[in-house]
Amino acid sequence: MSSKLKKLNQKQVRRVADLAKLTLTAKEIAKFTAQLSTILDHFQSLAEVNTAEVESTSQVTGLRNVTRQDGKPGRCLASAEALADAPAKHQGYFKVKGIFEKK
Amino acid sequence: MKLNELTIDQAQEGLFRGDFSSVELVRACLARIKKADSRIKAFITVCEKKALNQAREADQQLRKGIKKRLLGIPVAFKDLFVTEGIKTTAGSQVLADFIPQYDATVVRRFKEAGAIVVGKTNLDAWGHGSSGENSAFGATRNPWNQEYVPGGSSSGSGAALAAGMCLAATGTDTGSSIRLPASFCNLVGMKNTYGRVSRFGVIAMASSFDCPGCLTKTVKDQAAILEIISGQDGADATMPDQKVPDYSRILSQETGSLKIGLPKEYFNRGIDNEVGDLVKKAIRKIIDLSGGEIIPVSLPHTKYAMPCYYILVPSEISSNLARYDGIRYGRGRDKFGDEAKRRIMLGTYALSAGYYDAFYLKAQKIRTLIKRDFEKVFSKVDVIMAPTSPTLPFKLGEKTNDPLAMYLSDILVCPVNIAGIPALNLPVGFSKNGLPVGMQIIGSQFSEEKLLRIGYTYEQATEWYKIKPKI
Amino acid sequence: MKKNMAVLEPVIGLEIHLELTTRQKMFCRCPADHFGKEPNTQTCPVCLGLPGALPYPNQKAIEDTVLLGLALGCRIPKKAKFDRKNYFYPDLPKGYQISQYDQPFALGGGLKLKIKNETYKTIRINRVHLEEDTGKLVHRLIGGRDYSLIDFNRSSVPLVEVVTEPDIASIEELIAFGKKIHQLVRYLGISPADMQKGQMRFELNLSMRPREDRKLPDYRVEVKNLNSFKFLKAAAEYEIKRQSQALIRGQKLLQETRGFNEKKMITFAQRSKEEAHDYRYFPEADIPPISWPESAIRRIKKRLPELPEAKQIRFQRDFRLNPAEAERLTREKSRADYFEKAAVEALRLKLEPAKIARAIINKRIETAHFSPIQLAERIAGQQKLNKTGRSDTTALVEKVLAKYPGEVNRYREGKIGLIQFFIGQIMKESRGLADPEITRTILLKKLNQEQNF
Repeated sequence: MSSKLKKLNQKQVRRVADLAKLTLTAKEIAKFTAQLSTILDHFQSLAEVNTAEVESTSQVTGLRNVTRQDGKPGRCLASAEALADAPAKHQGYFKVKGIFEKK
Repeated sequence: MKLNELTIDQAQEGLFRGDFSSVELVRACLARIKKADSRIKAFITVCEKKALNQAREADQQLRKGIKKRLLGIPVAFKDLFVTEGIKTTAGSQVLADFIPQYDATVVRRFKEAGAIVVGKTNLDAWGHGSSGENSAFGATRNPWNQEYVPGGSSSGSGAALAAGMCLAATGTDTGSSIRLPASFCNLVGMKNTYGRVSRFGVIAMASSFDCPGCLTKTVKDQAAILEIISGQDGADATMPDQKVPDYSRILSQETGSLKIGLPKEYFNRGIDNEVGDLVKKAIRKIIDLSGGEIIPVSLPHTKYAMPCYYILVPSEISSNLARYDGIRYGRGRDKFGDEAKRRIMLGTYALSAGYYDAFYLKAQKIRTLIKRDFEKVFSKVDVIMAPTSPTLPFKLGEKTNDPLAMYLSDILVCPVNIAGIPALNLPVGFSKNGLPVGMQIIGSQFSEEKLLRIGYTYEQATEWYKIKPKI
Repeated sequence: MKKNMAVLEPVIGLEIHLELTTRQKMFCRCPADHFGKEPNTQTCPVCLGLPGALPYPNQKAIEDTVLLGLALGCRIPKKAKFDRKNYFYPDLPKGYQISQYDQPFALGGGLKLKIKNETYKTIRINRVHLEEDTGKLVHRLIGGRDYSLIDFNRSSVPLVEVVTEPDIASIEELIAFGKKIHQLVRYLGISPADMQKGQMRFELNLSMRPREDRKLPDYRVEVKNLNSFKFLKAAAEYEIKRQSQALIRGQKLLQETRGFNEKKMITFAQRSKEEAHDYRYFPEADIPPISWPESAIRRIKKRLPELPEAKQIRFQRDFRLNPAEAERLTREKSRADYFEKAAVEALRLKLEPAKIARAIINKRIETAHFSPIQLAERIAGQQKLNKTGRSDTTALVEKVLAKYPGEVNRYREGKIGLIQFFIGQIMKESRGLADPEITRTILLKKLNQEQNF
């Protein structure tokens, strides 16, 4: 791991918080920067291991090709059920403040 | 003995014989909750009315001679299991008012077996923690000594069961979270093979690590429940097509002479003397009972398990918690607690552009190496044994200021989750101060039968479960 | 004014988003057919992103994607997987979209376009991948304030994405390519690609460079969510003009994503600051990877129908059609199949299939009323009928009227609409050979006579 990854700075933490849609106070940013840096230091040891010829594991089961047959549709939630826990709704829709930016 | 202190096995016998009713059994649990839970805080939600109604129905069925597997038995669900119509919080303010529209597969199977839902148990919010202190609804206390933690993250399930508030309590084990509370509370708790039990309806922490399971008082109870909750459900695509054996029936089969592996990397750790002594005594006892030998083995990549785990798991967490945007349900992302925020950010960072190769991808490869370590060892031994926790249960507040210290205590337990293999926690005794100690028996994928057999043999000879905390 | 700039040419890549018509959604069992349904009536814990829900992939959607890849001449890699594309947006319930990143179902390939009479050009395909669609956002003013309303009926409907290389060099090629893909997916039967229903949408990538330049420009403008050929063309035309003017003025153009205003038919800069998205792709741990055995690819390949070009060549050869006729008749597979059946019967009846072709193309006969065989017989028979004339038809009319005395009475009592019923019966009796006009004339005469039959 290169040394650029060693020390996490507040700017990086702010960007990460943005990506994760977390609003942090200045105090929280400072606190998390310190804590995350300490934790990340511990990860340096991974660089010691030679993994050049090693495949990565994202499925410990070794399973492959698990799919379902397309067929008669199953039972859906009634719209009242779907909306039951919504903080804001309007005429069968979930409601949020106006979004104008495209994704 | 009070009704709520029975095992499932004993309670079923009594119910079928008509010695007592399910209503009486449930009342006994509810009484214990009323008496002790304001201090212990094992429960977030107690379903008193619903439970008694279900118990009355169960009694009707019992009178008709219906013999469902868990008919009339009061159980509790860790508040990560969604329960239709019953508030499910994940231990967090984010979901403080969330009422799910469906049941988790595990919940559905318990209900189909006739179990009574007593309530939802407390936990480290989202499963993030090993002590029970990260709950937004107050820290749970260990019934054995209420100044101590019960272990986490299935803290409430451990405490509720140990305190006699129910006869079984579900949990999830992503890095330790069934085994640690089982160990700290004198209970049996198994982390099953990843893919043995459906994750559908279990609020996700780390998708490739989460293992839903149950804490029980005895190995016999554990086997009975495993039969009910295991097996494919058509909703979780990560479950191999593995037949569900008759776990109860194989319990009393001979284990045969055992090759027991003791990894030097586990026993070299700073293990508390009392813990080490009790575990070694238990291992010797097992050898006495079954025959066998200790074989020193090595899991050379153990020291990389912690960083591997704490890169992969937060990465998956950061993605799994993205759905909590407060639009379809929940109170919004500013209600996340510190530990959740920390893990989300750690994970987001590890996955972000420029860091993916060095962190996430690297950790995925280390994962392969750790998995291979176990496979190599299991070609030489039948099972691995080790303490579940290197330390005795600790006091509330002892580790909360140092997140890293908390992470480091997972060192003996998280490699098992990295490899996706099963591990059974057995009570093996008590410290001088009366705090429970547990040992884990680790096996290869889908070797639950072997672990249960060994556990049963040991349990029959030692009966630690008969000791109860004073409530 | 800048010194003489070389003539500029557009460099265009196209992304096509296609909703597959499977019965169930991509990762859950909700119905996939969502157009026009009441909001949030076709959701479940999975496509709503409820806590604890898990995805389970639809086999047919995967195979349809591979089929499209094969039809586009792509390579089907042995290993494929799904990945999570992480970003926040209200129409994305899980906060990530299950998509494919580095191991999609199909790679490489190309589509041959006819650009002038005998000139062909291949537009290379970069990849074909499968993902889930998002929910839908509508904007409303409620109580004087702006809100966005979300409907998740579309969430997790299977969506195929076809991405081309930037090989498209003109508006003509762009539209021709779009239309060719549209035709292809309909031929394959994987989607009706009804653009009014949003089943096919385009994303345009366009930049400008000097004509002699072979390098790719260092910027690219994206215009998303174009859901008709008209809008695609307008967006491309506007961008060509806008970018050319900017470059001539000496402006440097940057990577950007622009919106399209459907009323004004222009593109516009987006309000949000353009920050490179960090989607933090990683393998979807809830779905095991795919590993294709040879036998599975062979089986899917068998599903490939004869494609339009091959069919055109064959129609010209076997049925002696000219290229224009062959092209018209092979535009839609259902029509081509209809024609072919009729043509085969025509050959049997020693009738020139070209006559059938012309009848269909010129709409002289309502093909909806006839089966292909009836059509062939009718056209062959008309040649005969013209010689025998009215007497055969008269006999048929009398036969039918004798069969339905009750209806004749009701007609005479005023139910004159029954004339259609009689015509229908006569057509049936004659197996389509009777001429509707002659039949009607004779019928009316017979029906308006008091006695008779």
